Amino acid sequence: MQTSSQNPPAVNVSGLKKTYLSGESELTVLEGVDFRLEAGRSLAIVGPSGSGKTTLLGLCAGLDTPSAGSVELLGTRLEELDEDGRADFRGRQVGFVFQDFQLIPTLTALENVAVPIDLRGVPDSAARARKLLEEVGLGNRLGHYPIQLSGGEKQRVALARAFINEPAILFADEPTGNLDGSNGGHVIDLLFELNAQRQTTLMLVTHDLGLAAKCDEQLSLENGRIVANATA
Amino acid sequence: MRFILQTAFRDGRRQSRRLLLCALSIMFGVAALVAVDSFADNLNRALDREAKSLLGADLQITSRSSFTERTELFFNRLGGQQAREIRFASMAYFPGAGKSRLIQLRAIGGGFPFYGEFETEPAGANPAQSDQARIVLDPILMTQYELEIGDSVRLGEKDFEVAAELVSVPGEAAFAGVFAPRAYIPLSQLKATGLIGTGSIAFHRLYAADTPMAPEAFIAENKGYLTDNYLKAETVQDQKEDVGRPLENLNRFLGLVGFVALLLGGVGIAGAAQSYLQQKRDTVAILRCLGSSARTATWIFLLQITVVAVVGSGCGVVLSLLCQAALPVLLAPLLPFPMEFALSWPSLITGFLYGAATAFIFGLFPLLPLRKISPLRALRASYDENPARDKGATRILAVVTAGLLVLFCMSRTEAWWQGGIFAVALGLVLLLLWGIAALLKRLLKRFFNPRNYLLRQAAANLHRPNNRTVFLTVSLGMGTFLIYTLVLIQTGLLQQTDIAAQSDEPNLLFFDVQPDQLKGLHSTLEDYKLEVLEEAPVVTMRLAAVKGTKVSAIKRDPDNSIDDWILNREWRSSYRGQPGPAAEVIEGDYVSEWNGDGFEEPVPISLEADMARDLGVVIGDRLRFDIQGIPMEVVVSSLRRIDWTELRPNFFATFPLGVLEGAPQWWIAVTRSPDNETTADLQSALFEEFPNISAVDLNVVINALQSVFGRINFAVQFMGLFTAATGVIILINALATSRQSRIRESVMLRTIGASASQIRRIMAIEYGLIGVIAGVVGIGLALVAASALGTWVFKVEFSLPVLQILSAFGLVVAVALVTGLTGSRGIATHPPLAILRRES
Repeated sequence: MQTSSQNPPAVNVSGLKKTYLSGESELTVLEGVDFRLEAGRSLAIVGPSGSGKTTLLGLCAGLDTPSAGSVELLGTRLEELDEDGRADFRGRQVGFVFQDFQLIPTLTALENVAVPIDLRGVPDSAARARKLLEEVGLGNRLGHYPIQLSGGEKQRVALARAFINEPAILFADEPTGNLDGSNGGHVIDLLFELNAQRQTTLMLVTHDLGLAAKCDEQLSLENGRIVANATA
Repeated sequence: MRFILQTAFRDGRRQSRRLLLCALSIMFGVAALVAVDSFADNLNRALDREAKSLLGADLQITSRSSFTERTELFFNRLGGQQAREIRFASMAYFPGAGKSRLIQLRAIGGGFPFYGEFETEPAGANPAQSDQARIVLDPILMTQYELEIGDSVRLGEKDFEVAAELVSVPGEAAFAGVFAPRAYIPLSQLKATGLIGTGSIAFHRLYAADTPMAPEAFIAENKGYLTDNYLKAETVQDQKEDVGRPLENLNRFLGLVGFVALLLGGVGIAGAAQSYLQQKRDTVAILRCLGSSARTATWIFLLQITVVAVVGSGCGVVLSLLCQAALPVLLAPLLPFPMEFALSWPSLITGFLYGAATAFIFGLFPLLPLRKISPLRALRASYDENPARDKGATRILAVVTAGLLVLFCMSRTEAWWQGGIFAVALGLVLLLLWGIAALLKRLLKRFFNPRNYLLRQAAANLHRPNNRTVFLTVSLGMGTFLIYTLVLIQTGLLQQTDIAAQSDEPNLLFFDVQPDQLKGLHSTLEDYKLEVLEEAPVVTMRLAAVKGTKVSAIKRDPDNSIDDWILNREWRSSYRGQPGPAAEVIEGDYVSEWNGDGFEEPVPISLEADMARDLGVVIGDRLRFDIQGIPMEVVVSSLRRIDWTELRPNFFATFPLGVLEGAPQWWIAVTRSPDNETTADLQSALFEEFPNISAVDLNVVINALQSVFGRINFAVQFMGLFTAATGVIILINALATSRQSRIRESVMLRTIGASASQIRRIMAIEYGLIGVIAGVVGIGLALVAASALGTWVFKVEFSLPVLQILSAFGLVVAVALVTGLTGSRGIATHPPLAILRRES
């Protein structure tokens, strides 16, 4: 892990614990997770199914609250924010790419991409969304609805949406999990290209060791604990 | 805010048809309410406009006996313009047709009417302004006996020339002549008919206008005299209330029936919105991941619900314009004045607001859980599948909604408690429908396991996850319940009259038979091979004191609990040695004879049980009657229960033999005529011999009843149809909601070898089963409600109309089937490949 920097790390996780109630017993999904990720770097979280990867990603993105420990993004402690505060923080600083794309089915590709900046009332949202869609090669699919797009196209729309608010940190959950090899490769290339252009901090969850290897750092989870971390 | 508006529009744009369908759930309820309220508004305006012509005068004073000399002096003091009328039922003979029938004879004199027009065709034949032996007849008589102007009609001993056909009389509806047609003659010609004799039943009426003293003030000043002399005074305002109140009550009832459609529409909106918003959970989670607050995400859909509420209510208002035109046409013949249809803006606006508020409030229920959707759902589809309900907020909303509904019901009934009872009863019916439908669904799951795959699959569809079976059953069942309850009550009432008409019960009633005419009546009946089945003397009297307190004192007592109609009425009592036909002594001993040829007071009498209860007397209590000027002290010795549905001479008070034989009296008698022809011939023969005897043909009464009841019932059923239509819209909504998953299932079945016809059959069985459950529940509850109402309210016995029940059941199943299959068009034939590509 990179530990030497004068600026605050993009992600600083310490003593993170998450438990769920399963029936009457308590189920610990994550325990004693500590790590830092410096701005502009990329981190892959790997591990077998059920090891707590997605839970960790969700906690880091402020989608859920930890049972213990803290998550600090860009110097902001997420546990000090309320639900709306975390939503606002995500809107300004965070981008998302999901395994199953998570496009809003009733909006066109252009409208889907514009949502994060429309939420903040940014002017020219349509123009910016169009530009990004052109960058990901979907300039001819602006008015199409998700149901009219292929899997690869949907994920490219999702990529464009993730970058439209120029996030400082991008979280990606199995971004190629629902794509075939060729489409997956194309999306990954795009992801890293856009990431490099914008100097975004990237944190992704994957089963794909090849994809993990492309990241600056790798963090391996097993039974909710970090069992290995490595820096490229 | 811009984002909310923009996203609400963008999101709703793709699903505008579905949202519109959702909005239509409320449409019929709003239409029903607006139509009823507009009718009431138009009615009130017409009442205000026609106020004075409702009475034809400023004041009307009526007595059931001829006015005394003292009363005439009293009228002189009243001053102003005055007119007189004597009205009573009598037989009229039509020489041209050689037939006679019962009519309402009205002899008028003076300047009547002082307001409004006595309209005739040809015009200008008002008998009040003539002294000639000319008569104006109800159109029904002109048609029935093919009469022309100038033809002759005989009343008693006098022939009259037909002067005109009656068009309208101030204050009377066209239906006024439905039980017996009206005939008007000059008052000066009445004596010559010889129809008015001692003890004859007739109403004597004074009409007054332009009196020096205001009518209300005159009545207030002379209340004592009017009360003591059994004179009933009515002003224009009283008449307005008399005319308006029954229609207002009918209107309130129709409004409540319309309200059921609105309520059901609200439940429909909640159901449709729930399945719509269920599919929006992912969208909310995504929006929250992208930085939207829970509030912002909820507002987007709140805005859509608001638009749905406004559009649905608006459609209802538009539809109501058509219904507003229909109601006056249905009810116009019941009104004593012409009523014009005019747009009632207050009704349109309030109906719109009621509808929009109902849709909005019911739409909030499924919206509340959206606030609790976690953004984590975007990462894990399985997360938050059933978000924690915001129980506190839901409970508060439920309490507020229930409170508003109860308040609404209360605001639409005359007494608040009636609204409360209606709301509670409605809630109970809904709960019952819900409970029984849920139970039937469980029974189906538990016990309905046929070998046939198609049946098994169809039944399984009814209890699959996220099924709408109970909801659909309640919607269709509620409509079925409402309409069929009304149909059953109507059937029961008409069945009762039909039984009377078709069995060996009497169907011809003679009244005003003078004692010396009895023998002649028997003999005339024998000529037609008929016999008198029952006969009884009638002695008119008035109540003078109850338990030692004079009636005049009771009437002045503000705490008096006895109805005025009992105290003021002219009692027609009888004397007989037995309790009488269709009567049963339920308490005390019936005294058959009293003291031989003289009598010793108090005389033991028998009272009808309900009348005794209304009078507040029990066995042993004393009453005093004024028997045509002679006071008589009586004691209640027995109480009888009477079946009034039988056409038998029965009385509230019967005296023992040996007391009233010498009093002025007339007789009543009944017989059974085998057919209409015999009835007509007998009526003519009797008229020739005894013109004063009136013969009431039960068939005519039944026809008149059917006619009046039919119109009111149709209006009520018309409103009930709105509820059923709402149920159909809800069914269509549910079909639209589940269309995608049905297509997926259908494609899957086709992929593994099912034919399109097999899929259609599965769907047909499924909708058929929904119809079966709704039919069983709705019709079953209607049977319970109708027999309860029949037993306790209408006092009629129902025999199960098996064929009718089966037809109703078939109709409900057919509606469910047709709606279901029409709404599922194309599903069975959807190309599998296309759907697989679309869904990938």
